[in-house]
Amino acid sequence: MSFFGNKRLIIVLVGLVLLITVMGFTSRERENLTWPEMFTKDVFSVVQGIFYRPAQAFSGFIQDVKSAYNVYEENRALKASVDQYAQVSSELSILQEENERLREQLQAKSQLHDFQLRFAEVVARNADQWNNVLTIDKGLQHGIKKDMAVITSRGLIGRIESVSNFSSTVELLTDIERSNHISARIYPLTAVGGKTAQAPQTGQTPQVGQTPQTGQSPQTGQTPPQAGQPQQSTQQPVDGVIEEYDPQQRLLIMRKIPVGAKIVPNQPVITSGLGGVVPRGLPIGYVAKVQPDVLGLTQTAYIQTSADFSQINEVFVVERSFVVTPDGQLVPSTQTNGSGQTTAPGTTGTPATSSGGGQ
Amino acid sequence: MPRLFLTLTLLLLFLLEGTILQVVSPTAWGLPWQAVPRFALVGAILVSFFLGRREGLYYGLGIGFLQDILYGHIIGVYSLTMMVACYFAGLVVLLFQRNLAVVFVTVCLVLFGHEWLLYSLYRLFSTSPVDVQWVISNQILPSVGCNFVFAVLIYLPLSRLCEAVDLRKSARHE
Repeated sequence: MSFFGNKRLIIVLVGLVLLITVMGFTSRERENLTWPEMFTKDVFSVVQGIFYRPAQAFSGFIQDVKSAYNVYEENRALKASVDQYAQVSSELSILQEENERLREQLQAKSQLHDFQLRFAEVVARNADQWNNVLTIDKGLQHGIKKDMAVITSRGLIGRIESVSNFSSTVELLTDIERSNHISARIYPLTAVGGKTAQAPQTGQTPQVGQTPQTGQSPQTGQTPPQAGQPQQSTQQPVDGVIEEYDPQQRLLIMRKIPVGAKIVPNQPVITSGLGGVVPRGLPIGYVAKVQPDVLGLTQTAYIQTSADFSQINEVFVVERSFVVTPDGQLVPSTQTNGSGQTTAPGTTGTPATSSGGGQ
Repeated sequence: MPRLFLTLTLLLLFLLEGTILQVVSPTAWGLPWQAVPRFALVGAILVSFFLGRREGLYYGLGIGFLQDILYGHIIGVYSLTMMVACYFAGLVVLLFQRNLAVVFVTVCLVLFGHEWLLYSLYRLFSTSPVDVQWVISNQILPSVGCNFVFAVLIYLPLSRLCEAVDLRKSARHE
């Protein structure tokens, strides 16, 4: 009797030790998956795809029916934005032409924002707060690599966390873990014809974040010196790193912005392409509010994502043509045998238009 | 044969979690709370009621392991929590007389305990803590509610399936 009791105890203990070992081993950032994991993921991604496609089609139908009710307002809003679009596109072509000419004179090769897109479909999703991930139906065989950026037609949604042969796992921006560090740039509001060109689509009322909550220390950090640089500070783009996601307010957080930088709500936030494999020019979202830091030395910007995270059906995986190595060198990514969607380096298309054309 | 059928049912529930239920989840329709479907876990807990804690433990371990491999960053977290949840479910039913009220109260408590264990594990290791009150009111309670409703729905069919498995098992012993 006691022998059996002991045996069971030993089995439980060995099992626990084994489990903790596995947890410790896998908790680190791993470069590659082991083959059993790849195999399981591939098999399940195929089966999940069979379940998910009809469900998507059904929900798409429901959404269509719902949106049929506000066609009128939508049409009016679209008409207004089409007027702006003509203006913006003409401005864009002028700027593009000028940019190219100047670049030629400088003999500068643009490398940061050359990229190619690969289309992929979502086959499964985990809504768990702790592991907010998607599974997509493209993998190593299709040239997908770890850490590539993933976008929808409306903006950045995450990065490739792990790849197996025919599927890969996308870690969303909304994941709670702090492994998603994205270098981003807050651009000034561009005024076109008196109106701001970019306005958030969502009906969220941007709070006025400039008011300090308590009348304590942040006073000094909040108001930039008025006499010094009134105009220039509004015109300068601000670089920073998006560090975290706040699940309560559903906003991304960018910390450590210098106090002098003046940021107002609705400014667009776009990837800066500095470091890593995320190219320049992928839209992330809009500034929702700005608050002084706890110490009052820096500012914190809260960013509303432009991509809609509630329903993600199709995504694009972004492969950058040039990758920054850990030593800081720009190296052409060797993958050029892509599935037909190669953009020659130096293509004039800006990222915005090429991502629009890809869908 | 019934055993295979039972395993396939749990597997199917697991597949539904990641695919079809994502379309009907409250977040997809813009509601503030987040209900995480854990239907496979509910199935494993019920199995643990009907077939004993040992079997429940194995099924919980299997489903947790799948969850870890397919969606998790760290392999072992869900294996641990789901295993423990199923084992305790089987244990509680041994202590009390099994009737409907006890079973459903136990399901609720075990589901809550599972989410709570998950939260505490991630709180322990995660670098960015989340407010407890918010997590309870916006994530844990809606999840427990949604899964409890599912447990009520699946109780009868699954009990029949488990009885068939049990019959087959006792027939083999004799």
